[in-house]
Amino acid sequence: MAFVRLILKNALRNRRRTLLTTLSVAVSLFLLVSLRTLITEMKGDTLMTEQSGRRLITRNAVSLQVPLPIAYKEKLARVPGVDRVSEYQWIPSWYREPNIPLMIIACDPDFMGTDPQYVIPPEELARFKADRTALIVPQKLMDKYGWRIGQRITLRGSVFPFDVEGTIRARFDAPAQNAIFCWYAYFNELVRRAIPDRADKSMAFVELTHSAAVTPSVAATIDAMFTNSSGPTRSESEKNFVLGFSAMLGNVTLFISAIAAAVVFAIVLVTTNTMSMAVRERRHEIAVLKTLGFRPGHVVLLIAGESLAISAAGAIIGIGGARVFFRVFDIYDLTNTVIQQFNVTEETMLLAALLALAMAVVSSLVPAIAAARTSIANTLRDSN
Amino acid sequence: MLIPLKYNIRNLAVRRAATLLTAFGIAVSVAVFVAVMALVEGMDETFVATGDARNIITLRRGAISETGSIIDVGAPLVVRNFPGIEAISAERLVYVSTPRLSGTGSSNVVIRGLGDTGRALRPQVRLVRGRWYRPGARELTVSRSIASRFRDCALGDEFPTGSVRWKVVGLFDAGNTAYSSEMWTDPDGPATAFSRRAWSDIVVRATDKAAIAPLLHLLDTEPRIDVDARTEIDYFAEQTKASSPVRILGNVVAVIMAVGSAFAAMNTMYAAVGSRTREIAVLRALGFSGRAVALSFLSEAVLLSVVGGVIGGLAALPLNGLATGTTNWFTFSEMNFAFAITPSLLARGILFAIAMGTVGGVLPAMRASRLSAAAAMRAL
Repeated sequence: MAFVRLILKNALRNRRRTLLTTLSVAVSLFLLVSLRTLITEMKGDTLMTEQSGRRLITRNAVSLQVPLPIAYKEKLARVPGVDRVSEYQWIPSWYREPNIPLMIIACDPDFMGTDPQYVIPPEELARFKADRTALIVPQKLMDKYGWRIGQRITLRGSVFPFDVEGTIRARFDAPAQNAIFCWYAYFNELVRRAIPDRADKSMAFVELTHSAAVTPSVAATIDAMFTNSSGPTRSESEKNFVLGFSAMLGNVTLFISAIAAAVVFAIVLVTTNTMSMAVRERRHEIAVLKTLGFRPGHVVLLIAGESLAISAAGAIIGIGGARVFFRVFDIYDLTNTVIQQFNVTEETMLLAALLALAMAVVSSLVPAIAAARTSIANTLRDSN
Repeated sequence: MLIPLKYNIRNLAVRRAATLLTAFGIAVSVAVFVAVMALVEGMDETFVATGDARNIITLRRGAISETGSIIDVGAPLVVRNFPGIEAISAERLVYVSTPRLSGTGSSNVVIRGLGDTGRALRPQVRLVRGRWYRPGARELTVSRSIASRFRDCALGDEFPTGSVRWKVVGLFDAGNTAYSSEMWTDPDGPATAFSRRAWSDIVVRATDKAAIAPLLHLLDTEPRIDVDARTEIDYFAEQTKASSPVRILGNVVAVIMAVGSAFAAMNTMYAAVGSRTREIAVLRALGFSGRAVALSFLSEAVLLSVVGGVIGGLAALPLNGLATGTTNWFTFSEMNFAFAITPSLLARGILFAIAMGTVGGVLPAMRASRLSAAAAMRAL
């Protein structure tokens, strides 16, 4: 106990230096936690619901740009293990500000409300299903644009040569809040008027299977069914579909990890420097401690302990700070709905804390060993 | 009178370990900054290198990219008769989800359907192996860098898209332009293979610079077609926005790391001041002013940071020219580019280091200047 107090006393002797080192470690750990959260969020885990495992997305094997004929819907519905099928068509658009993209998804109105984690007031859902030009809007977008139920809005198309004019009939709350939903039938009418060629087609279909266990085999059955058709398909779980987008970015994970490694290296340099300065200034008292009977092991512990104390303080400020920061500031709004969530998970916090611990030990090694090795006679002789 | 800089250089050399540790800390921040910004520069350079001042790109009104544009089949017949046109090329673009050779998933690679005129409008693109595709034969001539990074698109390969198979008959080199991320075929290729009859864009070459403005106006106002026209330069300049998420990431990371490094530099400089109390007292006794002492310590901090900046820039330098690819969210398709470490980027890196050194050095320098000779001597 007295030993711990000695460590803390030592740490607080040069308050300014300890404070600066602690803050340096804290900002670096804040950055580290943010980078890891960026990677975990790119995997889209927090956007998934329990039912995600039962959702399959089927699209043209060529790419999302080449749509599938609407006739596939009935064939898909007959595949054993499939509960329900809906068209799934993106309509890239914008509202008032062309620079802020908005996504509309055209689907089968009966598909809405099948996921209990997409919370929709039942009477609103009923009204959505009763109106061909109805829209369901995520709560966060309702707030962002100040919309209300019953309001008629015009969303300008940025790929299709038409606008989607609809009435907001319902709102929903869910992990993913980036898309507005409308009826596929309404979208198809608009397409038929503007580009008759493109009518009766959907970018993709989404199927709800009986259980997560059968999903992979259902996917295989579907793709096998269309192998020799004019439009072969690729079916994958909702999760893999989302992962596919991060894969498109290329080796982002590697790039971010490289930055994180650089940050770790920088922290080690900073703490090593601090501990070396401390050891250099205290050469004489270390010699005195040794004269009093402290063993080299004690001296090592003393230095390593001080480094740990500084890192621990930095970790609390940096890691805790990151958690609080991303709770308080709404990333969804700051990035114009591009990043929907930025949850600093417990796992990330734990990993960062362990890393801080390891870095503290590593950076105290060289100074601590140097301190342990100093010879009493030489040091004390030098003091004048 | 100023204290000679040599004094600072010698001090940094004497306190070698602390100097290096601090300089390395600054170097790491600079290296990360330069590396991330080299990616941004590389992407931007690609876009800038692609545009031709006399070419006009015509997209559907409101569309932001060639792949996201749908133009009526009859539109080229209307545009063809406009005055001031030297050449016109209607093109179809379809992106194809293609697996990478590295096994790290798939990306969308563009197949561009264009005729002889279209090729003539892009003199940057030249055939390096094999031959150009023949119309109607389901043949592809592929960018060399795509062929080396994606599956089934090397010379002689069969490239499958859905139920259709294409033969890769040639490779082209498009230098540092956006075309180096594409595969080319005749305009009817995408129409029959993907049942896509509409055009994606109409590229128009003006007879001369003076013809551009009237042509843009005609294209924008012609009631029979619903298009937005802009020069290629403007089109690709707009796409440099594709790099802005990386730019934001780079700036945020750099600023946070810089704060950490500045604190560390501050520590080192405070320690330098602390351990040189006697020297400072002597300097003051010799008649150097407090301001000269402050300036001396500040320049020592800056010197330290310049060393860090140079090391950081050198550490990032091997990345220069490294080819990589990512998805351009405007076109929703792959874009190849190379990290570009330009002299101006290196200069920015060193300025960034100097900023860290200055922030870290100001307070310790002020402290040094406030030590009075008598008090400093007494403290010993």
